[in-house]
Amino acid sequence: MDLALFSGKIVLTTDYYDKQTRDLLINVNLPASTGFGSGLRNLGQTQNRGWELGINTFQVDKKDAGWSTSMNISFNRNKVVDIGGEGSEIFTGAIPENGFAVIVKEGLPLGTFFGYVAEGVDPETGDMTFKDLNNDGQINDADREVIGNANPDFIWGISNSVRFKSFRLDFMFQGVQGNDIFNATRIETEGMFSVKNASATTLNRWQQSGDVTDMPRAIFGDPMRNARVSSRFIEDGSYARLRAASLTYSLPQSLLNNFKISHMEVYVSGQNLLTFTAYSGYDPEVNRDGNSSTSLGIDYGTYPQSRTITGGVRLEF
Amino acid sequence: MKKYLFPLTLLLILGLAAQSCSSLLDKAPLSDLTSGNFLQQGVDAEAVLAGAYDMLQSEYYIFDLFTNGDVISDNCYAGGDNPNNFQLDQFRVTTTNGNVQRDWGYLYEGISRANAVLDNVPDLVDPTFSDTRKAQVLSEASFLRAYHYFHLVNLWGGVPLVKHVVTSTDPDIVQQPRATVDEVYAFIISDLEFAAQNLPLSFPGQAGRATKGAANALLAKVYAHQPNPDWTKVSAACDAVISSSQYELLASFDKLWDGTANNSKESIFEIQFIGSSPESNWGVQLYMPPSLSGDGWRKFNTPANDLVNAYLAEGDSVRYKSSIFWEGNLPWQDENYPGGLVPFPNKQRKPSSWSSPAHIMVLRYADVLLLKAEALNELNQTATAIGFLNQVRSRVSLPNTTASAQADMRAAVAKERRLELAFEGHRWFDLKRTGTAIEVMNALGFSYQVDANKLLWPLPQREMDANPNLVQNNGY
Repeated sequence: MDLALFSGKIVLTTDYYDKQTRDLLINVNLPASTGFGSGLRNLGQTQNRGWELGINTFQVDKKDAGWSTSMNISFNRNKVVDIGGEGSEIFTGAIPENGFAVIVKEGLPLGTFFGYVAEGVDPETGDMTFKDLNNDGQINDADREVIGNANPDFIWGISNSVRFKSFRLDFMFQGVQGNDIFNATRIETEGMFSVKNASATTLNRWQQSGDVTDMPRAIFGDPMRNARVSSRFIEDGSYARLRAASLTYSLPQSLLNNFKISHMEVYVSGQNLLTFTAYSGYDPEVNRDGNSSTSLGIDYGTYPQSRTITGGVRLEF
Repeated sequence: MKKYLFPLTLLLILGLAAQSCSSLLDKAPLSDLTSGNFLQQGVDAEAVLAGAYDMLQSEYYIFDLFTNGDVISDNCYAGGDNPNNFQLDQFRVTTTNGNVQRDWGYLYEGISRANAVLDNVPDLVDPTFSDTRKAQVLSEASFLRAYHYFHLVNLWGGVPLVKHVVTSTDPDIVQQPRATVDEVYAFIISDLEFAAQNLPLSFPGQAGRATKGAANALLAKVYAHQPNPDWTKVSAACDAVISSSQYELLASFDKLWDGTANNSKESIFEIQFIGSSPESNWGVQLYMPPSLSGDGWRKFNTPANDLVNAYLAEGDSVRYKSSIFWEGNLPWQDENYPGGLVPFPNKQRKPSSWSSPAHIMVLRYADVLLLKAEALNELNQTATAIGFLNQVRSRVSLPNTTASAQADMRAAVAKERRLELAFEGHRWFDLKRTGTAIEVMNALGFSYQVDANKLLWPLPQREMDANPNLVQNNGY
């Protein structure tokens, strides 16, 4: 649905979609007893549905000044509809020496994290406590459940274009809200299971009986598997980011005419200039597994995006 | 590609003329070689077989074999700095232990490569590829498959029996349940009996191939390791090796390890290395002290005090000196040797900066002689058994055994196997099959308590997740 108000000064667009994708070919992890690590399997059916909303406004539109804003927000809900029968499960997102972190299952979205439920550090022992989901008195692989979702509640963007006399400023904010990240980098930097560099956060680790902290003890080999795939490493991946900004100054024509230059402008622009996030890793906008459609939102020593600043002069003769 | 251009063009034209569009588009890619379509000549079969042998140079047989056979047992401490190895050494293995996961993978990859030979070679028609050679190729692959399964069943108990190359990702095909221990042993034995029947006594000029002797030696071990050892068959398989006149003990024990007697008369199955990548035994660098390795980090598979004392108590100076190398002034502290002098396993030498040419002998004649002695003793022929034990002892200048009663002889053979075969990947499996593992390990006085559950590894969590038809071992 599209709507234009106040002589086109405000333009609204909304879309609703419901997309069923069938016969997906997904690279699935095979039992190693096959002699192979993974293979392509026809994954059945997934569903994406949601809303997209866009608003363009033209607040000022004069000869010497202008200001326009474009906003968009979209809410997508993803769901696995069929992977070959109710109860079928496919695990992916393997963390080195820690098994899988992602489950693909009917009714759940793609990018669902799966693992133990961490309940904090036991002040007596310094080990993590994990939830005994099936109440059988022991903590084993049967005590894992859904611990997070890499899909955001919504994603949004706002871009502004402002001009005043010879100056023009363009900037765009962009963000996602409500997604989880499995920060597997922290397994290495906060696992404290082998002799290597650790994060400064481990200074806060449990050291003697009675210590109340969220950082377990340091013990070679991690006998109690404090660093297993658990909700301990799930973090809120929401962020807002100044994705791009540029400031341009056009030199006055009267000055240029002497040099037979028809147009000249000086500009400075930058990408990824500011990020607002509670995420503890380098960059909330990561996925170790690149374009994988099933293994989303895993940070494992993943390189952050660079911040770039460019300056220049544009000449026309 | 050029030589296919004409037939390809012709095919396209004919295809356009004669076939509907969809079947034209469904053609298999002509340029792709897969294990299913490229066996057309004998040399192809040999290439697939070489791929199966290649798994003997995997991390499993270069390094993990000795972690599993010696570090887990009372022969070695984990050493090094790898938490996975410490977990194994200290009996607190988890379902995500990296060694447990990778060893499962390596062994099944080896099985898959052997299956590629066994599935595809039988139908190959090439007049230059004789039936005899074809049977040998199949037998060599059968031997390799049996050897991998032997390790699997020893480490995990009953495992899925994958008998053919998996060419589908269909869950019904790839998610195989575990077979029983007896089923796995029956499968291993049928592979080895086939191999023993068809393999030649030797492949002159082609060291490293599985021979009749290798198949029989492994059969002897398999019959001794199965849940109810068949000592008559152990004895018969040993006899097949002994009476073949192919093997003898080297006069010098040390020559077995110094690199001057590769593929000797004592060697029955030996993994070949030439010392340049990718044919390097990189494992040697992991064990050898700074004076030989040229680096300064803590080494793996440190010989245990208990083993050192066993050599000293026996007065076994020949094997002690050949098997263990001592060095002091190390850049690290070893909590097991506070005095500063630390022992290192010495049966693979010349680290050569990760490119060692040291071969790995996985089956040798002394092992067979001691199995023969053990079998005869269990068959109440202790007096005859003593002779085989003494053969092994006299080579290293030890006096004849004083054991004469069956129980004493049993203990004497077990001790002899330990001193003779240390650092060769046998000890832990010997302890398990003789039912002495729990008692021996708990007597060492470490903080762990070994129980029956800990004699088997957990199935890797990754495997359990990928295959819901698996049932986990007890205790994990």
